[in-house]
Amino acid sequence: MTQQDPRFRNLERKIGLFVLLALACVALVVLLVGIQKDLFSAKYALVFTVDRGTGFTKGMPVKLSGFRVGKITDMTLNEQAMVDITIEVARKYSKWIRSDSTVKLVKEGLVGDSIVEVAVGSLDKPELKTGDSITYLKTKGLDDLADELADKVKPVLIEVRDIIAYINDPDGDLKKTIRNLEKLTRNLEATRSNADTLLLATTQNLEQISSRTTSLLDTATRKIDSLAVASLNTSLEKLPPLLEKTDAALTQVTAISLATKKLSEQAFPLIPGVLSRTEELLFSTDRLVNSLNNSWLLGGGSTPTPSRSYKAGDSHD
Amino acid sequence: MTKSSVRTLLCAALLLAVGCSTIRTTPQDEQLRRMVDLNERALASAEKGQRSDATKLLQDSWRLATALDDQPMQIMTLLNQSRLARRNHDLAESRTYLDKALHISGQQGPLFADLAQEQALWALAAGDLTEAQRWATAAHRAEEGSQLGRRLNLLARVALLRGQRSEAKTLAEQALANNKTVGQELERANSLRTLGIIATQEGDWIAAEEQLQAALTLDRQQAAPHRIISDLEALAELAGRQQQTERQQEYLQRARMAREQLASSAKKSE
Repeated sequence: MTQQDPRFRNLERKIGLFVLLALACVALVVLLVGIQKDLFSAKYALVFTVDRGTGFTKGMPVKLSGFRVGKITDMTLNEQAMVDITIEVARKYSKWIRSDSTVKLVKEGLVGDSIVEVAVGSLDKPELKTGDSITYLKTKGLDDLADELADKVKPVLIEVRDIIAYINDPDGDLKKTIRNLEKLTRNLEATRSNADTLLLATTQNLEQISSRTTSLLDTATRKIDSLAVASLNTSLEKLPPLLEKTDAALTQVTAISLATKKLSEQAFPLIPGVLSRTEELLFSTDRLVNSLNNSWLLGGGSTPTPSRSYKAGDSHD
Repeated sequence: MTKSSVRTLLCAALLLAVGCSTIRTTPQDEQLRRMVDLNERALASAEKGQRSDATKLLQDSWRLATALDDQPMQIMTLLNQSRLARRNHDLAESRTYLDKALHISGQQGPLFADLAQEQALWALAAGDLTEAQRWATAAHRAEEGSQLGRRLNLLARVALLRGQRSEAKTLAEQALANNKTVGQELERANSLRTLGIIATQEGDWIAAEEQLQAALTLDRQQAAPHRIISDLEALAELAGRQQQTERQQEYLQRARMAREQLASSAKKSE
């Protein structure tokens, strides 16, 4: 009789249960991962064609407004030696992908992965169905950008090289100017000693001229003294009263001018009023004359009462 | 009786006679006369090109008319203000005065015909021929006095601008007859000019020449420079249609000179 350990009782059942539980966990994990990776959500395929497949890889993410919405599922070379690329996009995003939507290959950041970016279409355009083509916009790669930059920088570099060559040319204007400047600096010392000599000579000459001028002035003074100083003095004595009179006359002129200015300042603003009243007076006089003409005494009738008749405008005004 | 006492008696009798002959005026009459004077002086100033003076005088008239609550004078002043603004090419300001006048007057009253005429002239200046036709017809219907020829002339002018030549001709002929009867010389010249323009358009050169020359003569007699320019331009148009280039140039030259003189005298007055 075999002795049975109570722990091994129903062992098959326990193992079977354990295996079943393990399988259920694995299935659950697979299910959760599948849900997370959108493996079970409905998808639809879109196709676009590119000249070269460089940069595209199977499984490359497709993003819309920065969100992953699908991936590249297939890449085939077609009859025109171009590459047909099929992307698979979750059905729930189909409302954003319209007939005017576009795709392009972009890099996420400067050194990030390449992705296919889908641009949101206009809501008034129809949604794309599975198998439809979507427009591909070619973007410039780094090589293209580098070429473009090189084309722009090249002429600048050539100019810089020419300028440097011009500066370094031993027979060029710049080098010649520098050499001339050196010569000029060397000659300056000699020029300075010459200038000193010249200044000394000039000082001596000036002293001579000064002494001669003094003697000339003395002579002139003697001559003036000998002239009729007395008569000149008489004429000069008459000048102050004359100047006083002129001053008085000028003061009077200023006073008159000020008075005239004040008068005109007071009178000018009154002129328009005076004119208006004069005109009114003329109208009144005119009326008076008319009244007299119409008076009983001068053969007219009674004075007409003023009428409100409007002076009608010209029909061709 | 001595000579001196006879003289004294005679003087007293004369003074009595003069006193009896004069009619006592009320303050209201005096103010009314003043307002009429202000309006007439404003129009005279405007004719001389002194716009600022004219505006000031009309403002005085408006103040007085409003203070005395004299509605007819208010309307008259507003019409004159509107006319001045229209001539000054300020249609918005002109419209404001017209609206105010229409508000005070309503669709009747002794000045309604003039108000309607001014409305029509405003519409013509604004290029609205339908509205011009409506108001010109209203002015014609409301006319009860001696301005029938003027109203008919305006209707004829509007009809001609609307391309209704035969209707314009009939109206202008009626206007001519009426203006001749009442002695409105400037309006008679206007009728003749309209008829001359119609004859030019119809190719009746002789009649056109005759009517336009008659209009020019009348306008010269009335010393109306604006109208003289219009006559000369109409004559130039006639000469042009007859392929008489030299005559056309001569008329245009005369019109241009008249216009320049008018502009320079207006500038001087300002």
